[in-house]
Amino acid sequence: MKLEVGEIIIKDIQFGPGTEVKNGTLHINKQELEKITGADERIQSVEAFLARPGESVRILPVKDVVQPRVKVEGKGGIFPGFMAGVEQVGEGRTHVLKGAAVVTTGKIMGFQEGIIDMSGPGAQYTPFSQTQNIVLKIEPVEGIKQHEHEVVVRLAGFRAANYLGEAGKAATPDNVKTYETLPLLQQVAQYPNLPKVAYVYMLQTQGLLHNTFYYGVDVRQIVPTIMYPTEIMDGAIVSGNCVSACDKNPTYIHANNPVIEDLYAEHGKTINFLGCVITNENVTLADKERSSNMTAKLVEFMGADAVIISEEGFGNPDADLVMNCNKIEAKGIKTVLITDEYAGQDGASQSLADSTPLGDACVTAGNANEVLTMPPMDTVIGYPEVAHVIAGGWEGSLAADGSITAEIQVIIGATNELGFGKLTAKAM
Amino acid sequence: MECARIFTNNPAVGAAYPDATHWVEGNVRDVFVAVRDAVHRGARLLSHPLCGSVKPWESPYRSVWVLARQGALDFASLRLIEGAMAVSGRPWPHHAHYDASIREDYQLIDLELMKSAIKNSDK
Repeated sequence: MKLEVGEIIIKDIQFGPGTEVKNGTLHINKQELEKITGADERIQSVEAFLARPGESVRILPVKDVVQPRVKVEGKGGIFPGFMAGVEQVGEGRTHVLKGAAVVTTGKIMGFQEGIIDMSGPGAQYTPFSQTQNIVLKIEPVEGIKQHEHEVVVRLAGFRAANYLGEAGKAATPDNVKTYETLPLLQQVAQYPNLPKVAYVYMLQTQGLLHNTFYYGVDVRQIVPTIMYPTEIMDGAIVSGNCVSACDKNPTYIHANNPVIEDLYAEHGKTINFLGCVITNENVTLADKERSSNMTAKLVEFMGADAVIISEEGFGNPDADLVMNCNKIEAKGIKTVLITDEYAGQDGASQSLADSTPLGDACVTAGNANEVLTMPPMDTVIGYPEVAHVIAGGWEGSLAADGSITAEIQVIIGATNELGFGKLTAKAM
Repeated sequence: MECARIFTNNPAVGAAYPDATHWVEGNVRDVFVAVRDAVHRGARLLSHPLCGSVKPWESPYRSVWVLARQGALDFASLRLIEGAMAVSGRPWPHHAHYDASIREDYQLIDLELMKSAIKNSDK
């Protein structure tokens, strides 16, 4: 499966009469964007804002971040199972508005987290302080329950991203990257002397506000399966995960998974990248046993010499991470684990809820308990009052001047376990 | 005799599963201690004690699904409950500033994740 990704670099965003890309600026018809985003009878109102790198702007609580993309050639459409049919994606050509991001804000639960600061110390912890953000504040109709509210805001974000993505269809990309994975036996034969590496992609799937979808299917309901890595670049995996801002994978990060990006960069040079196994993180131990058994079986079946395993979330999924590691290592296949840590504010406490001596190659994306003070911003988009009860904060986290002192777990992507952020941690 | 019980301090779970609830009066730590004690008597965990990505020190409520039984110690269950306790209480927080609606949201999320566990096992 071969996909060309044409990157159209977006350096600025502006509201204007039409939606188009001109000389690196994404011009947006605000009314049309709001109308399309709000095209759901469960939505009462939508308001669009622009937030650019360096501005004194805070966005909270952030629900999801989505990158505008469009299918130019090949089967299917972006976000299959939601915005398009269920055709296989990951083939042909896709255009990306690189540098632009749709950010949805909606207060779904009372204790919402998820902060993006566009400047100041908080900005250094989130990759989305560096993107040109189209922020959509979405108000549902009265009486809607949390489950449905999450669905409404999630789909609204996809509609907005696809609407903006269309502006990239006719644009000439600044650069084009090509990614290709062959059918398994051919892929093995292509680089017979390189170590064969697979990627085990763990997805948060425990239930309310902890969902991830593959072609529209709730991943909680699947047994692990094999995926061509290019499928994610067309939005085959999307996030319905609203909890744990620092180490959840927003839809944007799924589509730009840096593990896959780096494995492709080494593909044919130092490794033979075979493809991905996607697996879930469920509530019951029986589910965890079944899924880790299946995952180990699939990577053995693929003939992998080594795998990279990335976790999503903390605590409960540590058990899935350990089971995957133990069972894959037991088959004689090397593992490298990617996680983050909750090691206490001083970094001295036990940082994972489970561990294994076989997990001797582990990369960490930082300590989510680290405390940071974020000074007040001139503008707050969203619902600033949630800072009082934000998960990752405590009573008094929001000071009278509007500054927030909280653990960095409140910041979107701060300790992202796909390595999309900039943090790590080292043993002292 | 074996029976599946939900150890919980969440009133919403108690109301949804009145016949299966093992009520624990107290905070999340008290629930974990009750579960750990049951594991020492031979109980086996059916759900992971840490539910979802809601951090255990943030939510005032926790439910753990347990196969209550007398017998040999299940070391895997003990490792998980001890691990959950180790990452949960530092320091054990107070949630006095949560208003009723925040408490209801935390109750709901704990209940829904428990429902998701039980539903997946019913299939």
